[in-house]
Amino acid sequence: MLLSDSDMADFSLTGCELEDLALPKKSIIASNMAWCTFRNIDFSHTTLLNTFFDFCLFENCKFNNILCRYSVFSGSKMIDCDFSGSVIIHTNFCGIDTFRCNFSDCDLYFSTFNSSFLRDTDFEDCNLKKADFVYTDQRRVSFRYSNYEEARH
Amino acid sequence: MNIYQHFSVVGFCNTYLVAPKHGSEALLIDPGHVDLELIHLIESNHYKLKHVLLTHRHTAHTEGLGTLRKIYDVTVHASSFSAYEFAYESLEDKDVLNICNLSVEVIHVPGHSLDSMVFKIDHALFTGDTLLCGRIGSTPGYREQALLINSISQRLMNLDENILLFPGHGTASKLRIERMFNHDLLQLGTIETEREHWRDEE
Repeated sequence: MLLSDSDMADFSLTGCELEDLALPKKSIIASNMAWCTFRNIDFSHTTLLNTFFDFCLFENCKFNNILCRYSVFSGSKMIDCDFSGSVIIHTNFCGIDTFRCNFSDCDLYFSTFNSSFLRDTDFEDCNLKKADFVYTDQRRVSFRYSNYEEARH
Repeated sequence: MNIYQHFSVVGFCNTYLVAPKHGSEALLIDPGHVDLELIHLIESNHYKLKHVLLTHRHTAHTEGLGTLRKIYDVTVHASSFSAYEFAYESLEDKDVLNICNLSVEVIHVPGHSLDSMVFKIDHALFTGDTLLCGRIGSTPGYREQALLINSISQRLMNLDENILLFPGHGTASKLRIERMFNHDLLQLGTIETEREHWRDEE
């Protein structure tokens, strides 16, 4: 199902472990993927709408040029993940724990990073209007060329 | 149950279209602003819009009602604490509405405003401005804030923690996420219900 070209809707895949996959250009809509482990997964060019990825582990995953809206990544741990060039709006990243992640060149309008632990993570040249960075613990985080002053922090 | 989220840049309000199945009767929660995108959402999915639920009376959540009532013949449901210039069905705490083949539980959560209502439909909670992602709703003073935190603690935090949260502004969430990461609720300490029932399965 994940690897087919057809769109996924109302799909539940909680608690599974996935490794070394490249998803085709497809839409994942109103699906539940909470508590999963994703290692070396390529989500690039996918569309994620109303999809829940809360309390997941993402290791070495690519999310380049994705369109993500109304989705939830809360409580997830992200290591070496690349979100650059994506449109990620109205998305919930509350309580995430990132290490060596890249959100550069992203539109993060109305996305929430509240209560997150961000380490060695870049938010360069991003649109941060209405984004939320309140109560975040930031270590070696770069907001160069982004409108951080328009975010809540 | 199908839930469609619509965001309007006028008032930055989320409007939710809820229906039991494709092409059936549907209800709308908080029509903050009615635009072509929202009309298209209703019409392209062949929904028959019959009811409107209002979480509270702030204009960001009700302003689109005038336009909506010109297009659709809808019954408006709002808190009995509210006062509107149009006819509406008043809601009380703990009411259960059976509309559009859905069971809607009404939960009164005052604090952000006296008339703030939360609607529980199946496994989804439409919280309006009471509980948002990562924070609680704004309040005019510290007494109202204490009232809101107390209301959330007593009326919402005893629900299933996997319940989905659809707030009036911002992103969707889950009750578990708010329990763990919402700084405004950290002062509640350990969740009472977990303490009460944690040995139930033994």
